[in-house]
Amino acid sequence: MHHLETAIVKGLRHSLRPGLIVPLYIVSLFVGLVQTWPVFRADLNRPFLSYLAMGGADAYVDLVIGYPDATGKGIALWLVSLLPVLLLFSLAYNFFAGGALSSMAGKSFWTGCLRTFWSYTALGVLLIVLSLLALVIASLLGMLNMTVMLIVAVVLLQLINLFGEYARAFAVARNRLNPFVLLGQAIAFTMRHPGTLLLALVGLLLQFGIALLLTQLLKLDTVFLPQIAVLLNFWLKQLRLGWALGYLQGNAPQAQPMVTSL
Amino acid sequence: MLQRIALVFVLLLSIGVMRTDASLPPAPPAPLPQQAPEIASYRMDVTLDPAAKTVAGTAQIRYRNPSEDTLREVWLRLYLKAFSSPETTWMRESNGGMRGFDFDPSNPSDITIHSLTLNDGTDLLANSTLTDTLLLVPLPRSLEPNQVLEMEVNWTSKLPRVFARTGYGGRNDTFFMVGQWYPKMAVYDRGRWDTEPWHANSEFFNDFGRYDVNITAPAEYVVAGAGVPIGETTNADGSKTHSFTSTNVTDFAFAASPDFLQANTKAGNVDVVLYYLPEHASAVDEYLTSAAGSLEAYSAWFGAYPHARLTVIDVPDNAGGAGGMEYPTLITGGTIGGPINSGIIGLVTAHEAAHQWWPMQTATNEGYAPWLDEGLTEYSGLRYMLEANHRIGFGDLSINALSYDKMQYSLAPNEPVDRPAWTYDDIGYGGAVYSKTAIGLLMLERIVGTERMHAAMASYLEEYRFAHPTAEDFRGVMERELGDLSWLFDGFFGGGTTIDYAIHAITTNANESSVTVLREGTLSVPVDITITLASGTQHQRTWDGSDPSITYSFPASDPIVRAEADPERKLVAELDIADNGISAQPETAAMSLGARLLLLVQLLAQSFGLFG
Repeated sequence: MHHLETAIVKGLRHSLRPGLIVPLYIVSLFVGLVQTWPVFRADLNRPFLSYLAMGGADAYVDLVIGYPDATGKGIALWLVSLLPVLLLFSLAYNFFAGGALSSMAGKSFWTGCLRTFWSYTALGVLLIVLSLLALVIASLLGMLNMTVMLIVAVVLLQLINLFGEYARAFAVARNRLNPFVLLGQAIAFTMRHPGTLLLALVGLLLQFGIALLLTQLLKLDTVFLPQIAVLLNFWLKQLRLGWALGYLQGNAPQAQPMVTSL
Repeated sequence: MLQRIALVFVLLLSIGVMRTDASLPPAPPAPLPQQAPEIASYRMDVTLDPAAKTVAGTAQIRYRNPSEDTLREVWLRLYLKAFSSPETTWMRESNGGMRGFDFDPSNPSDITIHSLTLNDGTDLLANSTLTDTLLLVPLPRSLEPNQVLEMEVNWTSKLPRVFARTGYGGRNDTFFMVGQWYPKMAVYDRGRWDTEPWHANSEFFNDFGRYDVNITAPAEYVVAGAGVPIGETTNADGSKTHSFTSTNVTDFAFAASPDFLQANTKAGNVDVVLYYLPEHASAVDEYLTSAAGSLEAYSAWFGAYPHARLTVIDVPDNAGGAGGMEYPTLITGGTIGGPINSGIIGLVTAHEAAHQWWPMQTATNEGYAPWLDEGLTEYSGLRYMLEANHRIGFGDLSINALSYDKMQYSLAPNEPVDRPAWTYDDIGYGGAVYSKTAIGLLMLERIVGTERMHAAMASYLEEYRFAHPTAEDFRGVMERELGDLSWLFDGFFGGGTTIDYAIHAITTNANESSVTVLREGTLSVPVDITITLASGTQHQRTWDGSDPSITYSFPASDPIVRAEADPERKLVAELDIADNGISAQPETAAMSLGARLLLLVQLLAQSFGLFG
């Protein structure tokens, strides 16, 4: 219980540092604008675009039936170009996460970014493989029952997400870089400490809270306020990483007393 | 939890709580319905055998020659022959599939006539000839105009596993939807017998009459029949006989299941009775609201529903082929494979309820003029769905019924609507007969006004109720009431035309400010143009679209800042509306589209990129 309290307090303290939020928000704005640019290049003098912005699903039906070929090609092109954008953002996260965690641990931000980048990137690939495996398992179960499939998929993906966060924290707290070792240690640690699952659950609830806030913000006739939800998502990620690091710091291996044979 | 809520609804409904959409107009005082001519009437005593999957019994058919001709033969329709062999017209045209359901060849249907006699015992069967789904019965004595022929037929119908509206399915195959199931008189109209075999894309063409039907079934079965139930008796063997009577109608169908539960509501004076399955309890409210609400709306718009009761049948998920079908005073619902509570049940129910007007009161020939049946029905259902703001889908991802029809119409925009049913493929049939007709009529309504449109439809019904009208009859009434509609009937419904207008550009120089409107479609339809000046003044113009373009000019001192063609979206058949408006300055709302897309990309990046 003491370690859990330590983790909560340290995590909250860590989450107030700007390490992860600011650089990743800037990157998200950049990649978002890259993908959004075609809209701003469009003929904004057409009221139809206003209708699309406000008209809900019916407006998109009008777009699709008005331009079936162009819409299909446009969406396909947009989705294809989204892939490198998402990849770029993932790399940015792998880069800045090391810096943020290092900064929380009292080390240099930029040195942390550079030191863990490749390790985190390899870890990210490993997590994707595990996620695909989890989805295959869930799909197989889905042949029996759709509800079971959904529950299994969500639980497994949340667990893999949690393992990834503790693996990143291990890299900074224990100075290890091998992604397999980091993941193994993270799995072992989270299994030994149920408090990690509790914190993950709290994180998930906060995530739902942010999603709920976003739905309300989207109802307002404002362009900028929904960005609060984007910032809160970054803050939540930093909080979860802070909890992971705090938990590990509270469970630092004790120095073994030297035993001398007489 | 939803099921519990639904159960509460069911309890409320069972004590007669009426719930219809408050925005809909109340039904006017119902005029006394006209009596249909009794041409083909049936008195039937039949037994449903759930184990053998058969309905067998006898029918006394009373047929009155409605023509001025002397008849020397009659024709009987044996619909269930359609699924007896892969070689029938129906099976060849459909390739053994309908609405996504495949025919089960191991469970074919059939109908076997054991005897067919005149009421004096003269055998008619020996000289009769079966072709596809039609039995030609030569008469030993000619049937003079207005003379009555009385026949007795003894037969057995073997039902298929549910397919194309009829058959058995559900839990342990205990659900039965019994339609197209008895030897039925063909129609003699305009000097000829209608001897088209049953086609895959076509439904029915029937004469009016009276049905008195006794159905015997095992005691545990709930039997839901068309018309009005008039009693039930318990037989010595423990079975029950359920009696129904139905007048001023063209057909009779029934459903049976030991699992049926019942919920009731009222639409004016009409009893709306739903027979539903326990697994669909959460859909009871949607079924009843749509059935009662639409019945009241159509009664107010077109003329009173001329029966005392409407029966609605819920079908099992594994018998979806029985769903979405209409019979006089009885309709079947369902989700068409979609999720429950997604609005589809309401959509299907409103559509099938509209069939109680078209064709149940007009009895048009659906084979030759399917648009007078399905098209007018789709329009009526669409109007109800828009009026009741009943959407399809969930939350922000839901669409209105007009979007649904526009999507279907966009798949076959160039098809004419007025061809015989069997000349269409599936996409053309849905796109043209259903949706293009509905969209054309909605467009007409928005141009002439709702009140005039409904009055014209009501006139059509009043003149041709129970009278087998044709497409010419419908057009005649509509043009008499609303003026020349050649742009609609010849131009739009005729096919091969498009409606498309565009605002080309706003230009302002030292002297004047102008906007040019283009007709890019091939069909000239009157279009409203709204022009907004810098001062805020709005000018409305109506352009007949006869020329390729038109330019409106105003003094440069108060320049044009915005122009829109068809701002009220009257021309719902126009598929390309992106160029229907233009502003002198960028639209602020359009900017927010960009901001929303930016947010979407950011959230996608966070969802995938922040993993682990």
